[in-house]
Amino acid sequence: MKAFYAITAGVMLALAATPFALLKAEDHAYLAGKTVSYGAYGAKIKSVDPATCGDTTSSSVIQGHVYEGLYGYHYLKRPVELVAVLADGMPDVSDDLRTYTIRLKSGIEYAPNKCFGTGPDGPKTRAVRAEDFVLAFKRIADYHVGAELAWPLIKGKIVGLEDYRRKTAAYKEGDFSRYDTLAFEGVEAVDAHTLRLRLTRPFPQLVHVLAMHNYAPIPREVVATYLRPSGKTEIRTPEAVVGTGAYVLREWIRAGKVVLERNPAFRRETYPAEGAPGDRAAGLLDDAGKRVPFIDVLHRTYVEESNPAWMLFLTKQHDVAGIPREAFDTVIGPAKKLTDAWRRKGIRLIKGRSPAVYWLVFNMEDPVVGKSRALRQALQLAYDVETHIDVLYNGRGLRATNVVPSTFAGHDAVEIDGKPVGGPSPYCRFDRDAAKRKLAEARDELAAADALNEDGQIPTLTLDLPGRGARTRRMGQFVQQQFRKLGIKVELVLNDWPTLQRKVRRKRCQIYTMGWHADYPDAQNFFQLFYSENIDAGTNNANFSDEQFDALYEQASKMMPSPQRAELYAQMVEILNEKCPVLLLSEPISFLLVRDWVSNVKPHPIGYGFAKYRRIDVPARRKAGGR
Amino acid sequence: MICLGVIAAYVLIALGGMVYTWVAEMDNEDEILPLQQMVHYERKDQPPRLELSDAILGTDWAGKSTLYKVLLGAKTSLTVGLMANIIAVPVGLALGAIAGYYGKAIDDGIVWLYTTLSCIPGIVLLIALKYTFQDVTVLGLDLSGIHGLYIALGVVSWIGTCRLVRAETMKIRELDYVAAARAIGTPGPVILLRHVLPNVFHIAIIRFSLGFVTAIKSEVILSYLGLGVKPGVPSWGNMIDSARMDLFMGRWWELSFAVAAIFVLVLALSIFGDRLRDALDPRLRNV
Repeated sequence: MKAFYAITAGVMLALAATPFALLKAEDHAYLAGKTVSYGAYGAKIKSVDPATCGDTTSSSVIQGHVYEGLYGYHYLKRPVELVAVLADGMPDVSDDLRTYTIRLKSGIEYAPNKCFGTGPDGPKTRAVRAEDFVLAFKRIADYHVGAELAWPLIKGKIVGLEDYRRKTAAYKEGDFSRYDTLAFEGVEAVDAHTLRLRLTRPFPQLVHVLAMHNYAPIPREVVATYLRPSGKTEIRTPEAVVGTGAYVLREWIRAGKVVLERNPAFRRETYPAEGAPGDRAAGLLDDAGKRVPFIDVLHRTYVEESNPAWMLFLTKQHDVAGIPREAFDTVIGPAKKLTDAWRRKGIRLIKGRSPAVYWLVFNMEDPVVGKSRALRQALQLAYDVETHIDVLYNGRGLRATNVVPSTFAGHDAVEIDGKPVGGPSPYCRFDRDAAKRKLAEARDELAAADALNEDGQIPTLTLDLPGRGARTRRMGQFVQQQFRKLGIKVELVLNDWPTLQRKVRRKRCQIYTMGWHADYPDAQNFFQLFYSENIDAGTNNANFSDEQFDALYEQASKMMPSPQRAELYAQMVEILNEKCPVLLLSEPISFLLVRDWVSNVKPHPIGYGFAKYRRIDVPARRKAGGR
Repeated sequence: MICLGVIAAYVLIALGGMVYTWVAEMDNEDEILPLQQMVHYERKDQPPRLELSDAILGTDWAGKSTLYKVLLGAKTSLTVGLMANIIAVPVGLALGAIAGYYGKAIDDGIVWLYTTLSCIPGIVLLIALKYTFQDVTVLGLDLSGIHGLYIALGVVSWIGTCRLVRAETMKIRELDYVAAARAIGTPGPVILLRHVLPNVFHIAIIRFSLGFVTAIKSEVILSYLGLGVKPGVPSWGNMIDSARMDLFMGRWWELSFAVAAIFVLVLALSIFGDRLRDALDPRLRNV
């Protein structure tokens, strides 16, 4: 009997211990002696393939550090400025603006990887060649690759792009011979160091598009070594992530963590010597001329909820953090500055403007909101955006006054024939009396369209929201409260994100929350959201269609920046202001908290992959009680 | 008696809330505001203080009074409890009596049905049902909101009643007066209605009072998961969910008062249910 009890106890203990025995501990030995930056990310990483990347988390956590495009952005200068990254200088553009010849920098190598073979000192590397860019474009054009962001941006603009896509549809997904046998007219490697792009029409934003890491070169070897055996077209495993960037993806656990380490073959690049005004005083130019990257390992943990992420920052486990809404008032004082108590803790506040505009979209094909311009104008006038920003975002934002962010050319009014055109919308102000007058007009319009209820009231509107979290619901309730002040009732529908996207695509929503974050610093990026040809492409999800606007858009999108183009932009803004296809809410301002041992932090509004410029003072971190 | 008093008070508050909401809905001039509109953004996130005359229990993110939210939440909880049981208890009673009285294939069928249903953990079944009710409208009732909640709770909670009633009926079926009724040729349904149902009805009453507690708790859990009543409808579950992040920052009032309201109601109902059983269950009376 005694033996029985002993065995029972033993078995119980063993069972209880298995989770601990089987859990893999963090590889601390690997991190020893290295400069490691610790941080968190709050959304799942959807893609490690530049062609399929479309979300900011994938870009900011992994892809921006690993993949580089031909061009990029200067880290410090504002307004943002393009710099050549893999290209050797700006492109040679032909007179008809349709042929771009780009020289590549020589001696740029990929990070060492097994796909290039293995030598005596580990995996080999090879130099970047122009044909790698051709492959990148072929993959984006490939019918079997879901390039959700990279494809629509160049669709219809490069010679032979659609043709290539159509032809690849005939191939099986796993048959990669299509990259060799099918020619792509518009993108051509003239020699190993020269790339030539031929366009169907002038596309002045092309250089900005090429600054996105989505168009990074892909070596043929990655396809041969990693994709061919699996028969899948998407790069999905960490070892298949091969880029030219300052970091290499060492470890990636889905919804777990990301470890990036220094790329040993990274070219010699130095910290910028020039910046925007104020950068020198802020100490952002102290490292000018020094070789980057400064940090050896970027260690990022997936932390979905904002509270644990916040605790990790408070306990000095992480170097950088955002501020959860709930904690905002304790951290930030009334003047939108860090309170003294927090400054004494060795924390700095860094604010950044994002080139984004948040709005509520009206479905222009809806029988109620689509039929009455006065109703949309009334709702815009009745919406207290200032309180919206204050209550829902703790004041972290500015009122948006038209669809173009206020930092972009095209936002402000332009004088045409002595009259100001465009600029801030006359309806983007909080004026409930004006709104009530507009609403009377709206009743007539709706009555004419036979869209009123039987009792002559404006029907209850429906607002579709992404997610069911407390934040989303508060947002919905706030909208309800605002519209109700006009006597308009709103019903809320909570969706998960894919469901909302599907409903929007099928045009089954009436009003829904959306926004746009600029892909490149040109107002055209925002105008394309209202171009009627983009209704099917999915970016014009307001289903806005206006002949005059379309004509202006087509004309302007072929022009290089010029006063004439500015006039066209202003006219487009004017049309959108008047027709109100979206209820403009806010332009976000990001608040970032940084520990004193981190330096060279400056948020970039558009580009990714600037962690290579950051520096961490590890002894100071240890002394302060951190890792 | 105290419990009965507490329950009566809750019912009164709920009725008051119902009348108030109805009046506010009818009033298009917005003189009487529905809770959703009682916003005072300038006094958001205030802790309980006596000076906040109508918000002595503090305010939420939009400056709405926690006191009003708790009071109006009673209506949601009580209607959910009532409606869920109005669906569940009669279904359980009818199926249980039929299964117990007729036996054989009918019994097998009903037992199979409830065993299968009870295999699935209750809360999982509830969540699954609520998900399938998204965008479903039956007879003009939008099932993605509170009506779907009634039905989902009803579907999940008839099983207990059914089991008890079936067992009791099987016992009663063999008693002399039932045998006598059958011997003089009384048809089955009549026997069921006249002789069996009155004798199992105490089970229904007890289950009704206990089921109330389960329904109220489930509503809170589902609303917390974002699957219960629609956002903006005052409900204790919605309050707890919306206050979840607040607690972390030391804003305890919204959560605490919602929980306190649930606690007192559930306690009162449970004790009341117990006493009711003591009073009505003939077996216990003899003990």
